[in-house]
Amino acid sequence: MRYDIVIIGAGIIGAMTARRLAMQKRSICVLEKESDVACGASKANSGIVHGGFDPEPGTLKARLNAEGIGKLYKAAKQLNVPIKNNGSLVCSFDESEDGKILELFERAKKNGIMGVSIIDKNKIKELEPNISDNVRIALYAPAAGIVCPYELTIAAMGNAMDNGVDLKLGFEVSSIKKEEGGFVVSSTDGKRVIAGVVINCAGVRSGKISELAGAETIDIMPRAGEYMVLDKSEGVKTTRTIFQAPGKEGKGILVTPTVDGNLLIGPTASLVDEANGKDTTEGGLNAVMRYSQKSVPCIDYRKVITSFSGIRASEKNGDFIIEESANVQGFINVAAIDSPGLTCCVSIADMVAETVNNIAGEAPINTRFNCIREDTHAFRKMNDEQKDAYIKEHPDYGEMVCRCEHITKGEIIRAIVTNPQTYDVDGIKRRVRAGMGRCQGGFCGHSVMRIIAQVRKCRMEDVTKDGADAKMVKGRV
Amino acid sequence: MEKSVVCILCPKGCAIKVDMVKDTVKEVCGYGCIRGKEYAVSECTHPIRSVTGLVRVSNREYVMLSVKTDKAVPKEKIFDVIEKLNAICVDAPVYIGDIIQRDICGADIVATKTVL
Amino acid sequence: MLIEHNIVVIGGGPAGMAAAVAAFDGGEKDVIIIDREDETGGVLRQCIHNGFGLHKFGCELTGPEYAEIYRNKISERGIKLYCNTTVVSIDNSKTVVAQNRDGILKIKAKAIILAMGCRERSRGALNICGTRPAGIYSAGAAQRLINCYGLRVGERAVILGSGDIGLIMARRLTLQGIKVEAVCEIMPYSGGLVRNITQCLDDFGIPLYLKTTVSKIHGSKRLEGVTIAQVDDNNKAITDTERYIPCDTLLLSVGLIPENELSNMAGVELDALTGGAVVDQNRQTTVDGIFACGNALHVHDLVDYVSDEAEIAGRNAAQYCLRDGSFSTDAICITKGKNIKYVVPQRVDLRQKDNLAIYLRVDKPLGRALFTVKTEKEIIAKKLQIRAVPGEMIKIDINKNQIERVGSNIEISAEALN
Repeated sequence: MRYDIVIIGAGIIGAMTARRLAMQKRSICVLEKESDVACGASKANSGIVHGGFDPEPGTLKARLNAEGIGKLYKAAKQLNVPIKNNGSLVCSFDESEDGKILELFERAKKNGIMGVSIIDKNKIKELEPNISDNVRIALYAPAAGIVCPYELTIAAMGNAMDNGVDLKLGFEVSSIKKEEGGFVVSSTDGKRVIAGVVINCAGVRSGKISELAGAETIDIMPRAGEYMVLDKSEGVKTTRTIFQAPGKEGKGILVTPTVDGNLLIGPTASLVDEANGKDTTEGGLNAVMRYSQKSVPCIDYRKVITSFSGIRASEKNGDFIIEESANVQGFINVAAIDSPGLTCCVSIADMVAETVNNIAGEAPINTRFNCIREDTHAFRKMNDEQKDAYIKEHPDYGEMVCRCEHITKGEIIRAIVTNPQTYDVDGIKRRVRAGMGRCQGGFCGHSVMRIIAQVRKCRMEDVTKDGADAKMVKGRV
Repeated sequence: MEKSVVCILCPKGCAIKVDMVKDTVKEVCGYGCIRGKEYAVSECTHPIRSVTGLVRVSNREYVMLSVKTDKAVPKEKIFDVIEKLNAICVDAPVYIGDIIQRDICGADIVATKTVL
Repeated sequence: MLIEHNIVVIGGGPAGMAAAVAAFDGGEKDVIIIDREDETGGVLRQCIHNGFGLHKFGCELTGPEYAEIYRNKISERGIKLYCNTTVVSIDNSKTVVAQNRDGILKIKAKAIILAMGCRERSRGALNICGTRPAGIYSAGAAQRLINCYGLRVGERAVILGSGDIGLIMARRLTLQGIKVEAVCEIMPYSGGLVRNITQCLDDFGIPLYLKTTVSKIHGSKRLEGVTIAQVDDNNKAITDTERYIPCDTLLLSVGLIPENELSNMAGVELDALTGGAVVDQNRQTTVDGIFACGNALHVHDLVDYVSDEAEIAGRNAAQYCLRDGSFSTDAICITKGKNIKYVVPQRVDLRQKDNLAIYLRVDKPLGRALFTVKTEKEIIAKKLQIRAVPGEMIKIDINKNQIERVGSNIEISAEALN
């Protein structure tokens, strides 16, 4: 199969880029080695719309962050992904940290960020009563926000697919060869696609992909970040995202509500090899608890419902790499996308689109492009009367499956069959939150397995957690 | 020789001591009721257990019939009972109390639930 | 659709069924039960082992058989059941909102009985390090897959937690041909009944490692193994005792948590010690006309005691409706003293002149123990218990004459006797 453009990697950058490129008349295919989208850094990060004060002035990060905030709010709205403009505070808790806060304020100005201010303790406590009494001053960035990173990725890819983009899951790229007709991209199991232009959005593996294409050496140094998620009872402890002044130990631990109403604390930052990046460690989780307490002492750690570790694709120079390879024409690297990559996802996609146009020439506008993705949360947002009427038309929506998050069978079936379709229990969890609540699937796991089996017309024992090797059970008794 | 037995007949779990001379019980102490005393003697001479298990239902997918032995069987026969249960396949409807199979290791197999 | 019922019982497990029957027999015939599953019975449906009903019915029953007795009582009385129906909210005016395949149901109740049961603590709450592969189940979830669906959860298992469900599952896995490598318990003692250690572990030679936990989980897709380690007095894993056990299944039996999200919505005060509602001896919560019982109120050791407690709640909910009046909030408090983990009820309505039964658990194994019930001035009751362990509930009866005299708060404590 030949495509004008092949994108390697279905994380937030690959998905948003695919969606952006689908606005023009082009054939596009996204290749993903995992069994679902958003399986790398995009499923396990802070989910923050960063205020733009952090990147070093003059860098790509600084520019794309400043441009990206507004673009992201707009895209999330079009995609019907919950996003909340809750604002953020970077706080000092010690005299020695005050300077850092002021420095960030200067940076914000240089980066062209409007509306940020320095606020004093009284104002901080007024905004966030649960913050530690040791707080001194804070940089307040009202434009900052929170969004669910995997949901955004799923929605962006779904919208791209609704507009004609192909997604090939389980396609682990093993070779990229430039031939007469274009790039031949092959997988480990012998599948191949032909591409006019190849875009490398492979996250933590972008160095390897660049190497396969014979392009520049990119030295990705994976950094793991461990997080804890707490029950919704703790999600009310802060309204805004609370950062600590960056210090010797990195950017510090943040405390933030999530768009779903939980409390998220983390991340740590440790260099790891790719294989171990998804392990949580005792030291890491202890550090998350210890340092988060510095910001918000009243967190009840008994309310932790899960912990996870995510991997960030950092690179030694510290800036994004978004450019066509100098030695392999038609091969574009979109690499080293660590924080604030999520915030920049739309502005990065725009920049990649420009690069593609420079290489392949402007393509005509896709007049049938529909930027709106249907709201997958529509049922949840209804009032009782509306729900009653809807259930009478669609009885599956009356059948509660996940009691913790109130997810119905109708919503689960819809998630299975809506682009990007999923076959996995984890895929359902990330799309509709069934199993994401306080019981962590203890009650509804069997029902979700049964529904997947029914819709997919497979046996319950063939249902997987995340990909073919992750069978939930091993046959029958 | 003194043997220690934890009674499993009720949740109290009495710790019972049984004084044995060769295979004969000489004295029992520490029991909380007469059934416990009998249990301790049996446990030291010919231990027995009730077995509960699962039986497949041929005409119902992903439904198992829970069953039990109507009386305790020799402890060493537990896995024989399970093996026999694994070989059984019943047709629904089955009703609670139905005898599914007679005389497995000396006990009848009884349905403990209804599958319509 | 708004309908009215005098008593709405939320949950059709052993507590809900017994409460509904007792309410009906107490004279209030307009009782309904709402249950989210396709039939009543709750967790008993998957508890196919025996050991139930000895106290209540004088014979050993399996879980499904115990449930069947109450199912029959319900149908004999014509108590209306809403199955496959999930309650999504309740409020303090006792309006219950539920949903099922027919739509949204709004029910105005005079009294509500909370009988939602409990949930299992999950892996997430334990902060076990490592990966997140398939093959990690809470013990109850695995029990359902095996006993109800006939699915084989794995081939080689380690069980963390030696509460009764963990022990029962160790035996079930073994009987179904799944090798149980070990049962690990972080405490220096098992939280389960001694008889279950005998008949579920010892009978099959399954090792129980005390003061031991799972310190790491291995495997990227399906579980490949766990590291177990002994713990120090702060429950931290001791690194040089770490040992790797290959396995494809890890079952967690690490505690039960009363389900009280609905109680919260109605403004019911919860007790941090039990995780359930604060109740008086009638099992009435701090919200007038809302009663609680079963594992939603506090986690019980035996279903027989759940039934007993639910009957109290049911009877009193009926009384509440028939008298059409509210109960006194002017009550004395019962609090825990030394060596006690929690007490239920936490309050006593002094206008009720019946004997009082207090249920409690100790916070560590005491062996032979003397329980003392006292007011600020005097000791009003004592009880000697042959064996007091956290896994078993203890009941202390107080004579009505004593209650009548008592005007002040009561504290219960325990002392180990050697």
